[in-house]
Amino acid sequence: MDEEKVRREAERVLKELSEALGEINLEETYYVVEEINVTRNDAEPELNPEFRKAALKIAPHKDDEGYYIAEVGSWV
Amino acid sequence: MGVIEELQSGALSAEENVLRFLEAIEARDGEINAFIEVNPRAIEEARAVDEKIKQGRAGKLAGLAIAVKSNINVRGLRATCASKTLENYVAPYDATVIERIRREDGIIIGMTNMDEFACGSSGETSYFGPTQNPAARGRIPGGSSSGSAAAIAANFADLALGSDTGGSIRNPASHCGVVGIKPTYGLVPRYGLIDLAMSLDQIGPLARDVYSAALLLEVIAGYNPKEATTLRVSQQNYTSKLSADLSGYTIGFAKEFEEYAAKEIIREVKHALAKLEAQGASVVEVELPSLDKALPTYYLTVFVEFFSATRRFDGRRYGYRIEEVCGEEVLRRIMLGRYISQKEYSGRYYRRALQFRSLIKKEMLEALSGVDLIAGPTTPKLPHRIGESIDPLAMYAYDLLTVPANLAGIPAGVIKAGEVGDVPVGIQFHAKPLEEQKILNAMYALEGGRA
Repeated sequence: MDEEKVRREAERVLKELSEALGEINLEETYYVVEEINVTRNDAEPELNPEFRKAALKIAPHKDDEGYYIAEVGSWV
Repeated sequence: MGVIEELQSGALSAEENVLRFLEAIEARDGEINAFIEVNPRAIEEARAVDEKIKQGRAGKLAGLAIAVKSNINVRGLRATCASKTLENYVAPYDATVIERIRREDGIIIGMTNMDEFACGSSGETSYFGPTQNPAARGRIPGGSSSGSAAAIAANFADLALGSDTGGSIRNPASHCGVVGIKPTYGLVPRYGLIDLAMSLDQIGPLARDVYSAALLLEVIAGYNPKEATTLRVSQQNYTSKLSADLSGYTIGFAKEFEEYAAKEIIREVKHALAKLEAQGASVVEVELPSLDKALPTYYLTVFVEFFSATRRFDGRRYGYRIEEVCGEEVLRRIMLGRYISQKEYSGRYYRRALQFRSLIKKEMLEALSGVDLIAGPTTPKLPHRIGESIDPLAMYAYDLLTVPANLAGIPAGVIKAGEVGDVPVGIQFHAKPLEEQKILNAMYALEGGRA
């Protein structure tokens, strides 16, 4: 297969299709289905202030600012 | 007596039905090349169905032989997408449509040829060689569901499944003179379909008559919790509602069709419309002013989605790395999809295509708002001769009249309207979302008018 020929044709196809499409000034875009999120309703995330404290309590290494200190992998 | 009645009455056994197709495939598919693989267990499966028929507990498709496009997973058979990339990929599970066919005792007779990864409108880009048009020898059967349409036209199966992203069921149905339906987006589950462009793909039936197409459609349609894009619709029963009485039907014909389709094709379509008028329908003019934008909108969308869909074919999990073994058309689309994706931060191509897609959907639904159906030609030109050198853009132009239905997500069906020379010409019907019944009824009326 002549890949260079395919590439040249691809460039021409893109140029011609793009020109044929022209410009549009429309806010809408197409979505596959009207239900954009089918698994849950959009909502603010819930934050549990106790979670960080509880997680740090069982962390093997942590610093004074409240972050985990991860071990460097043995393969490094 | 039709084959469905023969099977139900016991005049024909499932085994006899399958055997006669296997013999026909053995004898004639060397010339047609409709199949990539025949199901070695088809006879065994037919015998099991015969037992169920005897016990009076067989399903709606009992004993019918069904050919399946090679981009749909059928457990134990190769889902090659007609590409070297997947030449040895044996499907480990059944697609939802196959599960539903098996539940109704249909028998999968084999996997059909197609354009490689559904990238084509002629049936010539398959790694397994081109498919002949049984209805117009020497010419392309159309694509990309080339083998499925050819299998029906050559009498190698009772029914077939195809997939339609921009006309891949309707285009070959028109060229081969058979019935083909592209359902509303989301009506038929795509779970198990190897996608070309996920926002456009739909699986649908091909058949020799409208009743059997309606039967297969009602079996495969319906909600599937495995797939977020399927619609929550109740069980469909198209066959019991089939009616050739078109009293009260208004059918729109867009004047723009005459600009893009060959005169002899328009003549056959208008001839078919005159038959429908004689059966009670009234025909009015509608407008589709952005029809000329449909093709660039479609292809700029497909390049990006196809590029994304092919990233899994990296040679690690599924056969070969796609870029190393694919044909020219697949490579061209991957190159274009990669380029557009890289440039997409500027919204220059894909985002613009999505905006035009919104416009086209709006126009199609507006045009349909005052009518029951829009009827028109399926392809702008007659199928070319196999092997003829065709420029990529000229090849894409075959899809001009079929892509609007995919862009809008609406159903569309094709049935033979007539012939130009010895070449079949199909009339295409569009309807509002989930109004497949109206399309089936119009085609049923036309079929009855022709009988």
